[in-house]
Amino acid sequence: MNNISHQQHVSAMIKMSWLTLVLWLGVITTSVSAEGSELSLSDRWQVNGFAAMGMVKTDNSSYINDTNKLSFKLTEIGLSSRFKINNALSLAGQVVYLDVGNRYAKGTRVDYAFLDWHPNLFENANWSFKAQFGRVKNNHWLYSGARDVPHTRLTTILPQSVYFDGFRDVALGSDGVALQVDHLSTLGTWQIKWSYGKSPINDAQRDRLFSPLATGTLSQDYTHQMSVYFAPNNTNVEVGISLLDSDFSYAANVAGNDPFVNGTATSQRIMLHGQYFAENWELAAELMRERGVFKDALFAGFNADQYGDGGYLQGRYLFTPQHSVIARIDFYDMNEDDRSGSRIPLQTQGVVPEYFTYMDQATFGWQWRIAEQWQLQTDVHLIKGAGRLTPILFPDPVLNPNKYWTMWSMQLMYWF
Amino acid sequence: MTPFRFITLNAAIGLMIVIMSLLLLFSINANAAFLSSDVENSAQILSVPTRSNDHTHPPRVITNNSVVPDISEQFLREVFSGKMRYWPDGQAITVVVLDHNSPLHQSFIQLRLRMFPYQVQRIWNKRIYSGRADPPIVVNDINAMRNTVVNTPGAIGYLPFSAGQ
Repeated sequence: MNNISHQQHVSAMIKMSWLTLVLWLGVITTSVSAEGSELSLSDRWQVNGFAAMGMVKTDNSSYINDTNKLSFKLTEIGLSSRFKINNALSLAGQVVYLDVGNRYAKGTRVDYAFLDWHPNLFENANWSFKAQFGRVKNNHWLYSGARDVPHTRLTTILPQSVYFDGFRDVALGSDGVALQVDHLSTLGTWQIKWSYGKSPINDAQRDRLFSPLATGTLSQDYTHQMSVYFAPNNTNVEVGISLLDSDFSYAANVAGNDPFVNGTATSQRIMLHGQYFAENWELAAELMRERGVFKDALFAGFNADQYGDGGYLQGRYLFTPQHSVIARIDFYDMNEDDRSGSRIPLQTQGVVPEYFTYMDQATFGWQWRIAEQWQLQTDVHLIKGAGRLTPILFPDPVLNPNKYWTMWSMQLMYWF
Repeated sequence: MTPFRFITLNAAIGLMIVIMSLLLLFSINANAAFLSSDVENSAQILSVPTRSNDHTHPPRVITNNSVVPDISEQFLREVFSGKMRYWPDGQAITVVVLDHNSPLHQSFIQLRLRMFPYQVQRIWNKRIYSGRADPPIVVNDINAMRNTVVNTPGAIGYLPFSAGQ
C-alpha cells in the first residue's frame, strides 16, 4: 500500500510538471499568433543569469560538511528567461544548480516556471492586479523571492531563524497560484499578496527535513500564504506582515524497513517585516513566530504541539557605492516553553544536548563591488546553538559536539 | 544564557515597532517639503514641483506623446520601480533609463524619485531574478533616451533639467 502511495506521489509530481509545460505551450501558440508581430523577438525575450562560487569553513559543526575542512561547496548558478507574449502575459522560468554541502540537496532545480498575467483591470491607474500560475516563488518575505540569487542578498548565508536552509525547498515556492494587488493610496503604497500550492519533496529533501533513516514518502499537502506590505508616501520605509499555513504527511514504507509510521505535520507562521533605506545605510528586520504540530510519524501515538520564535536585525553601511559592511544579530528558539532546552536531555535520556533547541548568531560581512557585474562577499558567523541544523528531528551531537561554533565564507559572484 | 536569550519575540516586536515608528517620523519630517501635487505636462516634458531649498535642478521627466501626463510623484516612483505597468489611459508603460552609474540616472533617482540608487537597483534585481518584471530599456546617452522615448508608445524617461529649457 505504501509503495502504491509512493507511486501515486511520483505520478502526481510528473503530472504537475507536464501540466505546467502544456500550459506554457498552449498559451504560446494561441497568444503569440493572436497578438500579431508588433514585438520583435528581442523585445519579447529576456535572458538573465548568475554564477557564484566560493569557499566556506566551519568549526564544530556539520552545517556544511561532516569534517569541518575547508569546503568549496558554495556554488550557485542560475539561468532565467522571460518571454513576453503580449503586454499582459509573460512566461518566466529559472533553472538553478546548487552545490552547498549539507545545506541543501545538491543538484539542478526548476526554481520557478510560471505564466505571469498582469492585465489592466482597473480604470484607476492607482490599482494594479497580477497573477501567476505554475511553479511560483514565495514573494512574501523580504529575501524569499530571490533567495538563491547571490547579488540580491547582503550575506552569503541568510539568517537561519527565518530562512532556514532545511526548509529551503518547501519555502522557496510552490506549484500553484499567486495573486497580487498593489494600491497607491493617499497614505502610501499597499501591496497585498496571496498564494496557494504545494511543493514536491524528493528523497534527499525528505532525509534533511525528516530523517536519513526514512524510506517512506514525505509530501507537502498544501502551503497557503498571505502578506500585506505598506510603504508610507515620501518615505523609504516599508513594513509588512505575512502568514503561512502548511500541512505535510508522511507515508511509511513498511516493505522498505521504514522505522517510522504514517503521520502528519502542520507548520504555521506569522511574520513581521520592516526595512528602511538611507543614503549610506539601511536596516532590515524580520520577526517570526511559528507553530509546529506533529502527529504520529516518529511512532504511533506521538504528538507534539509547540511554538518557536526568532528573527533578525540587520544593518548595512556603505562607505562607497563599491564597499559596504554588514552586521546582523539573529536569534531562534525552537520552543517558547523551553527556551534553554533543559527538557531535551531529560526527554532523550541525555542523548540530545540542550543546545539543539536554539540558535543565536552574530554575523559580520563585507561586500566589494569589483566591477559592474562582479561582486565579492565575505562573512564571519559566530553561532551559539544548533537548533537550525538538519535533520531536524534527529540531531547529531557527535558531528556537532559544541554549542559554540563558527563559520566564515567568501563568495565571488557574476551576473548578467 | 546565550548572548541574545533575553530577547523574546514580544520584546523584539516592540523594539521593531519603536524603531520603525522613529524612522517613519524622521522620514516624514525630512520629506515634508517634498509633498507634491500631480505632475504637469509641457510638450512631453513632465515637471514635478521641487523643494524650495533645492540647489540643484532635478532631471525632467519625459514621456511619449501618446501618454496623458496626469500622474503623481508616487505613481512615478512605482513606475520606475517596476510595480505599475499601465498609464491611467490603459496604455502599457515602457521604462527607459540610463546606466545606473550615470550621474543623471543617480540624480533622477535621488531628486525625482526620492530614493537611492542602490535601493532601486536591488528592487529591480529582485524583480528580474524572480521572474516578476521585464527589465527597463537601458540606453547609452541622453540622445538615445530622447529618441527611444519619442519613438516608443507609452515610454517614459528623463533628461537633464536644461534639456527642457
